[in-house]
Amino acid sequence: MGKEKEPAIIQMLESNYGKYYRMAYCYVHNDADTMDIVQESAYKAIFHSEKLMNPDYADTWICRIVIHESINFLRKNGRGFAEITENTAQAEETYEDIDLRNAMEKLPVKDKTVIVLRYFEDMSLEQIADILKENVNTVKSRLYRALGKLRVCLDE
Amino acid sequence: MDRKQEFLKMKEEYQEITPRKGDREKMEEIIQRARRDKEKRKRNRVLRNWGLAVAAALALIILPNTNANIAHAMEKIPVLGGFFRIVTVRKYEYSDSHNKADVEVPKILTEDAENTDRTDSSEAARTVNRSAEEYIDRLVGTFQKDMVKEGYSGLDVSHQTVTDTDIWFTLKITAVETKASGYEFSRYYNIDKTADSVVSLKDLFADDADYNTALTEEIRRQMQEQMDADDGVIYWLEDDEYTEGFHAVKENQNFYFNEDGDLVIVFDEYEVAPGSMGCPEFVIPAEVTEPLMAQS
Repeated sequence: MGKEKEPAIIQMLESNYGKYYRMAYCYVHNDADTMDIVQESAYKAIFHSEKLMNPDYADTWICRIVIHESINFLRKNGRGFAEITENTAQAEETYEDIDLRNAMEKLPVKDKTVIVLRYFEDMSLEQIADILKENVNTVKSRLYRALGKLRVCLDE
Repeated sequence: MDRKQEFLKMKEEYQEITPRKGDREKMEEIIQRARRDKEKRKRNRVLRNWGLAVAAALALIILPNTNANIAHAMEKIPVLGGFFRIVTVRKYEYSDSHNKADVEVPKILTEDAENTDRTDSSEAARTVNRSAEEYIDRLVGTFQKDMVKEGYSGLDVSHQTVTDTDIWFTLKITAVETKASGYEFSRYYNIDKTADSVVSLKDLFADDADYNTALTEEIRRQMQEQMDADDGVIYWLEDDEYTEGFHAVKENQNFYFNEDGDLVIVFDEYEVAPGSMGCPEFVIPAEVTEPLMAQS
């Protein structure tokens, strides 16, 4: 069992490399930093592969590491507004009058994460909940709140 | 363009993000490096655990001798100010097209300041000599067992006097194992000349002192400070779900006293940081150690 983890991780890193790259890129918006984050994530995923419980979750696990590393990067570099925790005042705010691109950047980092995973990566709420280690309802309400802030109506 | 169209356009742009050329090759390198580092860390653990077992066995062997020697030892002049030196007593060299070993087995010779003709008068030195020899023999045994027919396997064992003051004598044995890349680890033997005893970390402190917490906190503080000051410095400090951070000083953690008399805690490669950081050392200020030390 232990043996299968590392190959599973390596296989994911190779076949989903583009996805991990995109995910990190949307936090930092430049190639050099993205590459650093993805490399660091890959290194950690392999080095600590024994911490992965089930090889079937290799992709979920790497996604989690990439997101974690991206947010860490933002925090270290004083970006991302450190909006990791919920802020009620902020939650009321909307960004109707600014363009969507800016509005996305202004979103708390966790809100942005669920938007990206759900709509840009087309992941299911269950997958997102696994990655973020939250329950599905929390993810769902975060998603709708984030959409509200962006003033985007998507018919689903 | 309405909000929804704008959103879909952003999605398109997102999906067009692609890594630069050459990044994929770099990823391959990272993957290989991580695998090697992981392998080394595993070996490191095995060696460490097994180091403890050797120490325990050694204690058992020595105890019967101690009693017999007590009367004899009582007559001896304390070794304080005694002269310690290290000689190489044995060499092990091996070389074929895939395997190479270059190993030196050291021995501490002691001479009483007043009786220069009497050697080996220190019980502590004898203990270290036995332990070091056994340790090195085991490294050689592992090397011989793991000899390869393809690729390369190397073992290099050397020794060095780290500290030699009126109080402390510290012998360091450095081993470098080379497979695909080198892996360096050390063992420090500390002799308190005033008590003629081999000293482990816990012996330095009062019985009830929580030295581990104090040392760990100080080292963590220094790690953080270094990382804040220099982006190139990385320690495994963070303790999240996939990174095993540095939590506690080990019972058999390597240490020595530097020329200023400050305690220095030493880590092996990959013990608390990536290989690029080498073997990190932390000087613990006297303000931290003194309140915890046994009154003497």
